[in-house]
Amino acid sequence: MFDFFDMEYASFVYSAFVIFFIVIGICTKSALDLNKNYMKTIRIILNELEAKK
Amino acid sequence: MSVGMLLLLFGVINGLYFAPPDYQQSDAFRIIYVHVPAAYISMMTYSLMAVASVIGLIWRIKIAFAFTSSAASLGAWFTFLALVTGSIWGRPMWGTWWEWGDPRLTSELLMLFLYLGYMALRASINDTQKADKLSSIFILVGAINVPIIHYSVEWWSSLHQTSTLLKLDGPSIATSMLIPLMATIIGTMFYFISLLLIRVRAEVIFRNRRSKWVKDLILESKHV
Amino acid sequence: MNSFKELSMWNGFKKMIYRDLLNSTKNLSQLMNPLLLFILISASFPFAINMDENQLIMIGPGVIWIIAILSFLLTLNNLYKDDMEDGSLDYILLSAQPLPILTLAKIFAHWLLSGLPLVLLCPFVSIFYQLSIEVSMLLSLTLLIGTLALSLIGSIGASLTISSQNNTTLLSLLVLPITIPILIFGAKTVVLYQNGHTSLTGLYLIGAYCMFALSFSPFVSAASLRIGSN
Repeated sequence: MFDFFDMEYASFVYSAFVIFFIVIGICTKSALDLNKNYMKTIRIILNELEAKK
Repeated sequence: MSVGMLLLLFGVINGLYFAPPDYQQSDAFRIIYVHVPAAYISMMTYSLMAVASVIGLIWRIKIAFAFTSSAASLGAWFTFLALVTGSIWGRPMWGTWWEWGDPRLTSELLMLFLYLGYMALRASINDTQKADKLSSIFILVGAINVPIIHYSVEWWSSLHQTSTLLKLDGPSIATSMLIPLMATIIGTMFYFISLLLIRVRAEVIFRNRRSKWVKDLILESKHV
Repeated sequence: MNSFKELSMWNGFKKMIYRDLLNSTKNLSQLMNPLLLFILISASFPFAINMDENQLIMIGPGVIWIIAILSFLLTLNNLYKDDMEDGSLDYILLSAQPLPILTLAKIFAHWLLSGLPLVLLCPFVSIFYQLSIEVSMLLSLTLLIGTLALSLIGSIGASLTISSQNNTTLLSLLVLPITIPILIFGAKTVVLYQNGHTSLTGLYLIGAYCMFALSFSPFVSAASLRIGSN
């Protein structure tokens, strides 16, 4: 485990992995945010429907 | 959603599997563990979107359109990832960040444009039904790109190597490198499916927001 | 029995082409603008690089092809959008003729009006790039078939975006990725010829792409028009 940074082209490999996980993080965040936003909108609509009754 | 989170965790643990085993050449080769899953998923989502578009257009099943629109931005990100990781890998191996002569690179770039075009077309049309159908037609027109990407390494001479995994007489890659690779591929796929399911679920709920079952669903559960 | 002859597909095809050609004569300046743009951009390009003659000859075909595609994309709105705006698209959709025939007629008329002038201008524009006569003739030939393919592919994009506002850039965004193969074939043919190879293979490829586009484009455009305009 001690030769992590002794690989040739270490910077390339690590930057690739970092970018991979960054993009994965972005996707996860966007999906969860989408969920939250949709739920907010639906709650608003439902409240309006309730209020109209 | 909790099932999705579980799958996510599974995927991440699998994905980190690549670290322990040791290799003959501990070179920039390791980028394969992120590049191949990303590329594989980018092509898979486009095929899924094409199939879903066909289902939506011919059989008029509305969920298919929700599926297509949810898969689009995920697919675009993974295509971007495939291109970027491939480019980073290419720099030490082939000496260049980008190579115009390689057909797989150009057709993958084309696929990114197709995804972006789909999302732009969808966003520009106000009526949801029209937007669904028209953008599905667009996906189908561009669907011929997927076989082009896949078979481009066989048809033309290219810097990429031909497929080493799905050959008829077993994979021709060393087993010690194969296991982490399969792990990352499957792990990323699980991760992708869980994200996709979260999005499709949200999309379907949103599209039917005025219907009774949605109201019951939301009112019954405080935390969705 | 004259009515049967009137309902024939060939008659419908002919009449549609006539109609489009006549309509465009009312607004000839609209047709001139992209052509002028073509000439202007092609002329400006050598200023951006350092105008070495050999360099110009090398990049000439590709650059002319790209500028042709870009100025052609500007004309694509004339296919369906104008008809939609003045309401005649609804009549076209309601007609007794099969819609793919009519879209094919419109594409063909559009090619005559916007593609052919580009082809005719091409020899003059290639003077800017110091191309020899044979090369510029070959370039024009590739553009001839190429603009037909562009009309076909562009009509798919145009029909998909009729219901969007301000769709010029969106249209270009949608159509350009699909036209990249023909750009490659067209420019490569001329470059290969410049390097001494035969031009036939390239021409066959362009022709094949054009036939391929011909086989599905009218149908896809017809379907998109029906969906997009109700």
